[in-house]
Amino acid sequence: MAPNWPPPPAAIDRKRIIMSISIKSLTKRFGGFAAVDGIDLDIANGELMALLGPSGSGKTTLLRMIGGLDFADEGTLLIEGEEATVTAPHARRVGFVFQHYALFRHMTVFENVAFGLRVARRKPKLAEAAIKQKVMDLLELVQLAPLAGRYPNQLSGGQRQRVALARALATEPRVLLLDEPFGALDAKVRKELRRWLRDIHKGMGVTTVFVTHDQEEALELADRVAILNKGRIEQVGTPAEVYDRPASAFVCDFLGGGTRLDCQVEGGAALIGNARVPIVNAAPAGGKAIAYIRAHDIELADGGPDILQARVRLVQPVGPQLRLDLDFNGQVVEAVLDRDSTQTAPVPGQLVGLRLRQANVYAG
Amino acid sequence: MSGPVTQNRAGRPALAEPLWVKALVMLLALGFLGFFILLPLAGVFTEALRRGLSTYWEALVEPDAFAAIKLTLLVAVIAVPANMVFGIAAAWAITKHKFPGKSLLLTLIDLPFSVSPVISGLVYVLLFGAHGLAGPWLRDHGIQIVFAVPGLVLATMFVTFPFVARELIPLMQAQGSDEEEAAITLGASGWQTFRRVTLPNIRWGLLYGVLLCNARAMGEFGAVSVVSGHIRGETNTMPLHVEILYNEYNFVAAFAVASMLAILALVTLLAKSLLEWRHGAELAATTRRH
Repeated sequence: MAPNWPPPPAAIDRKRIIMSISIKSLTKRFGGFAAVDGIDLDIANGELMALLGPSGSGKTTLLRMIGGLDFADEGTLLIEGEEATVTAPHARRVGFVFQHYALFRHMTVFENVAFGLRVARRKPKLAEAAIKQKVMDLLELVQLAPLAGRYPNQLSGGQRQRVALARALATEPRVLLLDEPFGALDAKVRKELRRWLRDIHKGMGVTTVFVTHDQEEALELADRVAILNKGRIEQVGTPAEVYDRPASAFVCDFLGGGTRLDCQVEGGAALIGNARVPIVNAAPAGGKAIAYIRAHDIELADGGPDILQARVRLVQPVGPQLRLDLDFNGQVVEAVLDRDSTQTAPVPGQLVGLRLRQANVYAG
Repeated sequence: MSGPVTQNRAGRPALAEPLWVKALVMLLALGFLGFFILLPLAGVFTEALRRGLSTYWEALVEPDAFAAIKLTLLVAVIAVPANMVFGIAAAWAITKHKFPGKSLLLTLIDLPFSVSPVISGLVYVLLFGAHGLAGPWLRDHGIQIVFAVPGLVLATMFVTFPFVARELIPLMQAQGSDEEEAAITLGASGWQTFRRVTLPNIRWGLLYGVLLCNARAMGEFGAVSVVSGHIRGETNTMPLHVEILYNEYNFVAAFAVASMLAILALVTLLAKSLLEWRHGAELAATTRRH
């Protein structure tokens, strides 16, 4: 999949504005429940931003407010410096890709993509030939030109997703918003489309915000990730920043925090059992705390200092990995070993020594 | 015995029934259809044509009969479009919006189905009749509703108003409002969204609802009978006229008018089939689910 990119649309050559989207203490309540609770977020021009969180964290509501499908109760929203908090959706010039695509089922692929051009309120209206040219260019871009005459339900999930994207791009939006763009697709198609979306984003440079509950997807695709929990933002940063330095126990847990163990902080290290484990984050100064140890930060060790004794409960080879469930003082510890470099695989019931390379520690 | 068995193994699909079962089921269905639908229909036409075509024709163009046919069509032409607009509006309001009293509206829509048509007619007599609530006021202003065309239209609209809404509500509920939201983000106005997205999505349901509504509007007897006053040539619709003729032992004329009603119904069905046939490919493409 390496299409020839058309020249970026005129939308990107407009005068330089640093912030594409600027959100200040945005709040949205449904009944008494605050779905989005005072969120601040700035998204730079041309950025690919992920809103990551579990269901009910407010990420979709936030996206819908940016798109003008829901309106905030409090706070402000600027799009390219213009006040847009209560602006009607059509005046925002945003493209929205829905979770289930929401393609117009009674229109062909061509007519779906042409829709935004046909209903445009600009004068004079785009000529039919210009519409045709533009739609076919976009269908070329999403590699669906041969299927222009099909109806949505004659397409596969991945094809529908691409039609939805072409339709959203047709109006040359200032911001592209995607709600769980890969949620309804199978694993292989999802992976292909991810790479493809990143390429499109690179080619067109349009500011893009997408919602996902899949941490891997967010980390792989986005320039920056905002992690949401209960209507608030827990952390914003590059994928490396949020993964390496999770700002809270929630972020650490959500980004594959691994095993959660009680510990005692002493002299800059976490004391788990009798083992001292280096702390990577800004941990509390002392006292009881919770340590998160990622599965690949655990190795088997025969002897030496700072070793924990654990009993093997389950050994599972998964592809190139060996996944272990271990019992440490009644707590389940998950470890992942490289299958090739493990000479003798442990067996269930065996007592093994564990070395924990590092831990993220948070106040309990 | 081994022949059929090997044939079975050779490749009869699991769902295929033996021939005798197929024949029995088809016979049952066709027999039922013939006895309860085709036979009465044929009966209507044979009775109507018993004295030949010219008598049949005379019965139809007889001034009172002709007036009844015109009146029935007039009532349908007013009541059906009105209920189409109301049905779309109600279905739209109920399925795309949240508002207080929504479930009450949903229940009220069903009221004409659950109330006896006679009562539906009586309500209008009580409201607009000479001794009714609005009776004196209407009389002073020289407006006649009951025992006149407006009363017939009102009663017919009341009886037929659930058809379109009832057909559309489940359909629009199943479709949700995703496509409307997509249209709005693409820059469509409310009217454009309705005309280009909502309406095309519901058109087959709407057509079906309108046809049912029309069939009932032309065939309604009970409610119309109460408000009509049975003035020959003025307030008699076709079903009422059929009854009068029948009670006067004028069987040929009664069946002739009845056959006209049946023809109107058949034309409606034919129009529906024709539309389905002409748009068959598109219909298949846009309604099939995965």
